[in-house]
Amino acid sequence: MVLGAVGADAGRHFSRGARGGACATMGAMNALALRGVTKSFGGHVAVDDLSLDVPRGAVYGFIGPNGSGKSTTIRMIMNILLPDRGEIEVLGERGTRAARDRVGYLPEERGLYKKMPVRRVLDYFGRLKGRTRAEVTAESEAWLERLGLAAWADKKVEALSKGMAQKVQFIAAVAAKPELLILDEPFSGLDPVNMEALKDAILELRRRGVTILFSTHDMAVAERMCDRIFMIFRGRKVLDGTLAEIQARYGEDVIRVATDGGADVVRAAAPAGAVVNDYGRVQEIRGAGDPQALLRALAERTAVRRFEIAHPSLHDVFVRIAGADAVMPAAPRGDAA
Amino acid sequence: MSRKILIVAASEFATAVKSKAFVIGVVMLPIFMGGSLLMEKLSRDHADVSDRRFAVVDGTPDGAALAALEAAAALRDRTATADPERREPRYVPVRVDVAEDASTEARGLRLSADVKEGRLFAFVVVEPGGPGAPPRIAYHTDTPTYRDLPEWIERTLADAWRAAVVRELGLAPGLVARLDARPRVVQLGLLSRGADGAAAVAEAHDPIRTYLVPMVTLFLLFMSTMSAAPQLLNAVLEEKQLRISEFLVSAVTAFDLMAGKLLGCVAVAALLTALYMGGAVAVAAHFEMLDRLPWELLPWFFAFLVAATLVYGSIFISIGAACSDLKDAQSMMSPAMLLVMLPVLVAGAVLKEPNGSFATSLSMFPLFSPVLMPLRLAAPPGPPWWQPPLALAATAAVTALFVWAAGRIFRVGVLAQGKGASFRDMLRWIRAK
Repeated sequence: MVLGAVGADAGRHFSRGARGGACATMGAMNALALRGVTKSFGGHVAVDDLSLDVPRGAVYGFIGPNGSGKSTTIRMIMNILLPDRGEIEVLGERGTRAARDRVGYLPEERGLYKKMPVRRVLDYFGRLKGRTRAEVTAESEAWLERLGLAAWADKKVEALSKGMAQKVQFIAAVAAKPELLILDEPFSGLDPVNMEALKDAILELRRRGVTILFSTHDMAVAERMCDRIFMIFRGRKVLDGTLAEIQARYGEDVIRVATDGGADVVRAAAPAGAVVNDYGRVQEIRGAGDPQALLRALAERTAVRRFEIAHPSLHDVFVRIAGADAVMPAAPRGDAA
Repeated sequence: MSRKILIVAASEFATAVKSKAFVIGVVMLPIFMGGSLLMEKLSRDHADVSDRRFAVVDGTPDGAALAALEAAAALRDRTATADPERREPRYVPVRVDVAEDASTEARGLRLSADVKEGRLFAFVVVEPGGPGAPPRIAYHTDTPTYRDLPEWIERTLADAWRAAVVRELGLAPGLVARLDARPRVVQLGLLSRGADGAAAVAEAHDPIRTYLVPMVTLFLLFMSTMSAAPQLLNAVLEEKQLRISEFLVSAVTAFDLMAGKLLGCVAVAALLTALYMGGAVAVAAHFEMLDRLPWELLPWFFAFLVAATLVYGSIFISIGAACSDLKDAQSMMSPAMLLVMLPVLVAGAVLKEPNGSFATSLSMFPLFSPVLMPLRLAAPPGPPWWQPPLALAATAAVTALFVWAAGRIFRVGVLAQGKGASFRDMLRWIRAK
């Protein structure tokens, strides 16, 4: 079975004929539902028959290599682009324009008016989301305080550092108290301190019941923060599920070792056809066959400090799917979605 | 109207009026105009009124030319230059003794040296023109831009020549003055019957109402529109370059965003016009000319101002959305600016014959109507009653078309990065689903 068929299978349960109003099939429990969404630019299919359900209150990770269709999908969710085919339901509304004000959005390509004071930018962006000035002011003041930017509220944006500007952009996305927050690469370019602050802010929003969909290239962040992870590759959905479900699909086929001999010795001990990924102090072996045989082979050659039969990391799964030699990969064990 | 359009418009308006460009534009115009008046006064007060001494090498019989120049200069001293307010220099002819120099060339060189060293302002060589012909006059100077003196010499010697001819022919001495007398045309308006049925006296032609008011109308409309509309291009480009557009179109539709920007632009143009007009009214009040202002044209003026701002604003906003940087935009600005400038360039011809076929046809063309129809309205006698509303209706229709097309271009272009679009791309975007 091809993993890319996941979306098509899910789409079978969706009533495409129904238009207008919430769709019972999509379900009130979903903050976001896509059914058979397709978008082409010229002859290039950017998003192909994509279906997805994002439950309310979840933190949903959206991963995929560059150019795989992530931003196009997000732009369709935000109604910036219209799908050629398929349906998108946001917060129970089929016409996403009506729900637009309840969705916070931090685009991947983001900026602020350089000559405007921070407070005025937040007021403008918040009011464009349908909130009153008083509501926006109250919310943005709280966030400025929380993210350590209160003293900069009356400064012009051009006076801010890159990290500060990025935090202001985040506040602009949440100042209108969204029910669904879509963050396109929220952590890119942030130093560890600012990254930590932003991560805490996202988790705080999650505690408040906000549904969060964010795209990232940082697999470790996705593993740690996301309730569910969704991967798109060449415009098609190839992964969708919890981390445990995804890992379970790929099985315990990774052996993680640390030896005195290092990668060369591991490669020599590994059977023919096994793939060895060298991380320096640790090596991961996939396709090693019998683990006991590998352990014996290693022990004959060097001192073994660590030997662990493990699930593949999300990074490993990502690379397997989207590696340079990747073709549409076959699902090892059915559909996790 | 969507509340978001008003929020965008308010933000655009606030940004524009707080910008240095707006403040400089508002402040600089009166400074520039006041400065021009001040400079004119200063140049008049500080005009060089030192004597213009010029040598006269008189080859006419009996020194007739020099005599005529001396007499005219003396008369001028008693009249024009005697008035301290006139601040004009005295003209002082200096006789040259031709016997002093060995040759004509030597005399010419000596007098040239005198001019160079400031002892003389110029020198004139007057020679008989032959039988029946006026004298030949050569005026030598190194200040050729000062035209008053040679023109005075020419007028004086021409008068003397005519007088000599009259004397030679034995005609009456006052004949020259009679021949010089020209009938004058007094330009008046048309006669009409008053309330009592009697024909009212035709009013004299008013140059302020005829020329100044139409030109000020044109200037105000052009200045206000051109101060506001091109800013849209910069604003859209800035949002594209700073990657703000995507956030904006996620919160508000591209059409509403553009409509808000256009509305803000109209508000800026209206504010500018109000400020300039306020200044013009203050000046008119100062000179007690308020009754000569065409108040009845105000509604038309503002209607066409809105149309002009929307039409030209749509063009500039489309260019801003289609381009990725200022360099791209500048190359597309040239044809757009030509379109905007053309009505201003033909304004003189329109004013000369405001109801002629050229003026009528151009002012009915929707892209030119917003500038040319107010000009025709301000120029007496004004267009036929049906032309302004028809022009406004046609302009409104074209404005709607332009705003719609700009919205289509804006929708696609505002998210496009990289290479700027061509006019062909823009047409494709308009047709795109």
